[in-house]
Amino acid sequence: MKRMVAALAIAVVAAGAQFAQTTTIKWFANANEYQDYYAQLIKAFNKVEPGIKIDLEVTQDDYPSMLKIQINAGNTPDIFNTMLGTEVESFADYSADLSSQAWVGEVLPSVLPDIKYQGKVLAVPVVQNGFGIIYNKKMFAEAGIKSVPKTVAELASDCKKLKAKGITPFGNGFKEWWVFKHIFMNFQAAQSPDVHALNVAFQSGKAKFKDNPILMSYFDMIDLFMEYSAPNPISTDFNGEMNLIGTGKVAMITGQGIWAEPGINKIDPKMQLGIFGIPVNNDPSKTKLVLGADHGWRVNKDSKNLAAVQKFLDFWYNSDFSKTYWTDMLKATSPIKGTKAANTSMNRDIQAYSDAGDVYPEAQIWATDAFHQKFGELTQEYIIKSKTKAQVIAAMEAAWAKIGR
Amino acid sequence: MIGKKHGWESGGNFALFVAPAAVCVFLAFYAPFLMNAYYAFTDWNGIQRAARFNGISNFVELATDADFLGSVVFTVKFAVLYIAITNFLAILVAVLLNHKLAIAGAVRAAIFVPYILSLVIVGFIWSFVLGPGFQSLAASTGWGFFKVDWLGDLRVVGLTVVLVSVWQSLGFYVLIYHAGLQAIPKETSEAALLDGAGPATKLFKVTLPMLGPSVTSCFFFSLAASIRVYDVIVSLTRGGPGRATSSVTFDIYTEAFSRNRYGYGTAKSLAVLLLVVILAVVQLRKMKSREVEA
Repeated sequence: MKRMVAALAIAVVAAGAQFAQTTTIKWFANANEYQDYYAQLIKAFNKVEPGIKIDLEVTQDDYPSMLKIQINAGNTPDIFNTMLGTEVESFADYSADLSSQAWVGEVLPSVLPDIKYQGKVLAVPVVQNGFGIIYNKKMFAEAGIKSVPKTVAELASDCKKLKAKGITPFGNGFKEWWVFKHIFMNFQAAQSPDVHALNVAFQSGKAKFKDNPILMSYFDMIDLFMEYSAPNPISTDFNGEMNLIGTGKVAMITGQGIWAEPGINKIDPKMQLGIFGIPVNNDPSKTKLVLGADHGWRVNKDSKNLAAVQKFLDFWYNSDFSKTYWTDMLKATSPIKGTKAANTSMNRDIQAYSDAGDVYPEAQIWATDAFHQKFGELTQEYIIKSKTKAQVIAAMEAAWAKIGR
Repeated sequence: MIGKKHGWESGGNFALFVAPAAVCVFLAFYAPFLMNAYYAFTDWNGIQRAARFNGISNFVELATDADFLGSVVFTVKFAVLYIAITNFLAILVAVLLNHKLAIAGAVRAAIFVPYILSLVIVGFIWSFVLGPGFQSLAASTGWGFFKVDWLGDLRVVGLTVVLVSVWQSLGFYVLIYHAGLQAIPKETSEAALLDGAGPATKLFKVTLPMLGPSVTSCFFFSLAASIRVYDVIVSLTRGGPGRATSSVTFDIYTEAFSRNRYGYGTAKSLAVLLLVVILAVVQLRKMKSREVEA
């Protein structure tokens, strides 16, 4: 009997110890394309910290809504995604202040303003993204295009050259609302050196499209994309777009960026891809590549596992692991100091723009995704002509003022 | 005196038995509904912790909201087409199945299988069929039918959504009509036959009037389904192109959860609730008065 009691006591103590050791961090992420790498990250972390379990859930479609439902249900994940810039403020109520974390010193100075609100660091930059037109280098060569277009006129004539060779110039994923904001960013940054101020002006309802000629030429670019588009752009989504370029049906895809490269190379590992900034008019000096951090990780302020989350972030952003995480695993541009560009065809193009200083900041982070969804919807209405251009512009201005912040 | 006491006692018993269910229903349904109604008078954005009271301004905005009106118009169009096509096809199929066809079993299975699929899956299947599927068919056949952008062309996209919904739910309605047909007593149709009624006369003068209760239920179910239409739109068109296929429920969802205007979204849902209650009462009254007692 005594022995049984003793055994039972040992079992209970052991079970208790087991409980104390395992902490589970709930991590809710968007961006399907990085799912495998996140799993590798967790594996690497668990080699160092076997006691901290990380429960990862990834979804891309409708992430903001799913997140809000979880927050409203009192079920806030320990780590979750938001946009940087404006959304740093909207989710401030739920975000832990990370200013004193060791990794903050490692973040690139150009990214720091995007993760701060009222002087506090409330977000962790996920990655740096380059945005532009992705193209198939071999097809460009076949059509006799020697260098990437620097003006709208050059882009149009390159389209003609491709078409003459029987190549469809553009694959457009215009079913996705976020494709349009990516395109629009070039026009915002070319219009104003301070994209934050430009957004504030529109959000206050004072600014108008008609006073901003470069913003107006956004619609001309959409017209050009449509003129040389693969069939059914309005019902083509991101996967459809990657398929079009990956299977060699089109020479370029629009509204995408560096994150698409691994997916396309999964379809055709040998395809040499490049990326160039969207020209906004016929002034070549205005053509630059948008490069910046748009998404951030947020840490739930009320998380019971704050200490564990901090350990995880430190491993992720401030260890030997972080030196190769972005460049070798994600094949992306790192938001951390002292890392080189990943060695892929598109990353080398981005590095060249970056070295030359031909980069624009990411305008999209200064308006809400609520606005961008409406913006995408309205651009679709412009394309299918269910509204006139004037109606679309008026509705864009109204939405920017009403739900832009 | 005895009767009165009996009445009180049974009333007490009644309350005793109903209370647990009533409390559960209140907690699960009416309480959230009332809490929700409160938010209709605030400008809560769905994220921040505090909500600010803003009177009836949500409802004032609603009256002039072109997006909301557009989604109401789409929902009405959808409802009319969906109710008409589903019920017509369902009666047709049920009558055919009633004629002891050799392949009746296979037809029944083929029609019922989509109903047990989730609408989200149905949406993905059809967006594949209508997208890459039709594109490769167009390439190999060259037929114009496959070249139409069924999910992107403003003129057809509404019809696409209706047809996919009909395809998915037809089995359910066929089932109800089929059961209704089985319940028609043999004597009635035999009497009609003796009186010299041909197949067409029999269908219109005997079978359809006797199907009254099934028609009432099916109209009601299909009306409810078309007011609630949401999942097929999310997975098939995401309300687009533009707002061309944004139903009322889809609009409420985007308003509350994508545009961060939870208070305003709630106001919209209250307005829709009111419309639905009126519609349901009118429809049930009308249809009930037309039924023929068997």
